[in-house]
Amino acid sequence: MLNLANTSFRSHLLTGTGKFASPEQMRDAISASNSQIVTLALKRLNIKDTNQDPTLAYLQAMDITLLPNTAGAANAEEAIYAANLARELLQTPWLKLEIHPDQRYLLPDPVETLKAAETLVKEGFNVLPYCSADPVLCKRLEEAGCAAVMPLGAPIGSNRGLRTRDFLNIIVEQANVPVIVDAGIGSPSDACAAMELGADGVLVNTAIATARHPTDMAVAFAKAVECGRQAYLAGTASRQRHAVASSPFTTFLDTLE
Amino acid sequence: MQVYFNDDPVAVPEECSLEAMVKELTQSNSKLAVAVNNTIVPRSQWAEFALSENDHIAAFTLVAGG
Repeated sequence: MLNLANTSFRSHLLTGTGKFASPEQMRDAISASNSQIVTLALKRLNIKDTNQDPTLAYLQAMDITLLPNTAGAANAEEAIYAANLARELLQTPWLKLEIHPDQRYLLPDPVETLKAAETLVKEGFNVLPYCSADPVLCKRLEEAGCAAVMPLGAPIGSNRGLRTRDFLNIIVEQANVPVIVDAGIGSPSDACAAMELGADGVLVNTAIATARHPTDMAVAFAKAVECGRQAYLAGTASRQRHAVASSPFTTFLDTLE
Repeated sequence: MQVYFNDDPVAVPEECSLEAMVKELTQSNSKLAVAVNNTIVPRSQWAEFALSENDHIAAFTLVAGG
């Protein structure tokens, strides 16, 4: 179980809804992932666009928790504004806090993220902050009252895997709130590795949405996350520098001498 | 009088409520959050909220995102 803000979720796989070829493909992949927490983004309404986007309606028909994000916010003030818009829209306390002023790498601004988190927690949000894989920052976010920390594996959408692995290990070791590895997870093996090292969840979007067969990839991710979680709970065996025999060395061949 | 809706100038009648304006400009089934001059106005207050000249109204919706 993934426990966030006194709520239990069976699935440890959180999914994003961006970059799918169509809303229908998104719906099918999210459904196949068995994900129970799904992200969305805020956008200014374009009144000239008369095509009704069915994304929100599809998601609201599912038995999932919607996690609006603050993407587009470049500082704490903008993120707090976006958070309140999202809460007004969905009447939900859940929030993925993300503040990335730099468009090239979309790396989260640690100072603004912490500042926003402190305010939003006081305003009653369940804050899930996207953050650098910085153990000290994660501790500070935890102390601020965040429901989890969401350190990155690699830049958003880069599919580069767990480049921050050593720091994720430290974050997992020290955290008293769930650790959800967000961003950079490019394949099910990355997701499995994150879960195996003790993460409580992973958030995946690009790797599913831009796969050749997104629905099949969603299933693969669901299995990988479960597999990694089970391996973590089973306790990974220790590593040795030299061979350690798995078969008994008996003397039954001595008779050939 | 003139107000701005997502930065576009819009002419509305005097004593126009926020609700009337949003209904006029958007599809009624859109799920929206609305701010006037950067202050969020809860949906429950749209009907009583009277617009003033040069108000900047911003409407937001949710879309796919990661």
